[in-house]
Amino acid sequence: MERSTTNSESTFRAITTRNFLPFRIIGEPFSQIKIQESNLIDELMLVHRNRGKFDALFLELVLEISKFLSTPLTVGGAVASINDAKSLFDRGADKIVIGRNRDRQSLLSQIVDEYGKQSLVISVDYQSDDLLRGIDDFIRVESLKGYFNFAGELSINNISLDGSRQGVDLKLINFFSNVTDVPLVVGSGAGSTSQIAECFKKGADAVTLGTFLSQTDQSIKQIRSHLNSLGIHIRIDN
Amino acid sequence: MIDIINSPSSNALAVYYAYQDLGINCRIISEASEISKSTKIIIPGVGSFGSLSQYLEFSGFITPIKNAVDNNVKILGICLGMQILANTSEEAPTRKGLGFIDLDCVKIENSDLRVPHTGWDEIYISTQHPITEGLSSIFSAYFSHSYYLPVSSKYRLAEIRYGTAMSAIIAHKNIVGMQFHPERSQKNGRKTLVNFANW
Repeated sequence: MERSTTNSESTFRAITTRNFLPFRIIGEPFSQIKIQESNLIDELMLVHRNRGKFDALFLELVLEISKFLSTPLTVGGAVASINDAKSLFDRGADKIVIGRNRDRQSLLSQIVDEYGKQSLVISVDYQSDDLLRGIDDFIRVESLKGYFNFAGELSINNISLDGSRQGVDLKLINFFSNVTDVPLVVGSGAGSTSQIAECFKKGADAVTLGTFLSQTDQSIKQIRSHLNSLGIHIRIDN
Repeated sequence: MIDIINSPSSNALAVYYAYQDLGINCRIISEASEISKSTKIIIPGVGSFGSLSQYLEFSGFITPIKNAVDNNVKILGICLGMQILANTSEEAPTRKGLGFIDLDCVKIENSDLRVPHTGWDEIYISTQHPITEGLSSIFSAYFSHSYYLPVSSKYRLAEIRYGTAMSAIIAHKNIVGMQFHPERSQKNGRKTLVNFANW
């Protein structure tokens, strides 16, 4: 999600990213969300890409989405205080995602005390360069265990693969899956249903899709039935 | 009127919008005195057992809710709102629930399973009830919880199997509870909300 500076009518644009940088505008957020919801997404993760503070317009967008959404809503991108978190929960967010500020334990504990552990998704983004230096260099396993005291879910993304459709980083899924106690959400790089199936087989509890959904003619319903045929038990009813 | 109790940190708003989206009237209430006009009451989820228990007590909700139950007003508890219908919870051992359901809420403890139990899961209906009308005998809904009510044949309408059997929907007289979030469970969830409105 990105703020548009050229169009005064529709202030936000849904975008896909490559390496976490804007890549392609895919349309107006409401219609994109309605399409994906009718295709039976399991959850919606809305990330504000402008790294500054949440502004009133973004908060209004969250509220407007909440009014019609019947799917769990996770919002993030710039949560830096308990008040930021509160302003999102007050507008219907079910969970918030915290990345850059994940080492601020007092912020995490304030959120968890007030809204419960299930309301907090901690996000760890890394680059392939980080991996060459070894996992412990970019994130210490000990600090990861600290996150599990607060996080209801752990979300991991290899920025280098974001938007590439070359496949999600399976090695890292394997690593995180073995150390996490909480549900593991993985993303960045999915390019086929069999790649998504591999993520689940390596221990992911959920896979996030962005570019894959917007640039292929695959619908979630087809992905679900294909995943089931590959032995991944995933809901197909509703 | 369906009244949704606006407990702090709850997602009363999400339940309110779900009913708005369905074209069914409801309101969010913050004052215990407003319960005297309720025909139906919803205790929404999200938060912790201790804080919800304290809120209900200190905001004077407990007696009006008990009176409403005695007067056959129908009550729906969602997620934590269902757990608070029970006697106690391991989440806050010093606090009391409303005690309508003679069960105690326990923590999900299983080293093989991820906790919280988060995401869509299958619900197995065992007893027909107006609240489950029109749903398949196995249907999916969205869960997000670390504590659960054990299954009791006295109250069970439906259960989930996450390591062990847990209550998914319970009912007792004019009271129902759902561990999942109907306001976030798409078509199936909307169906249960309509069923509650029609019950």
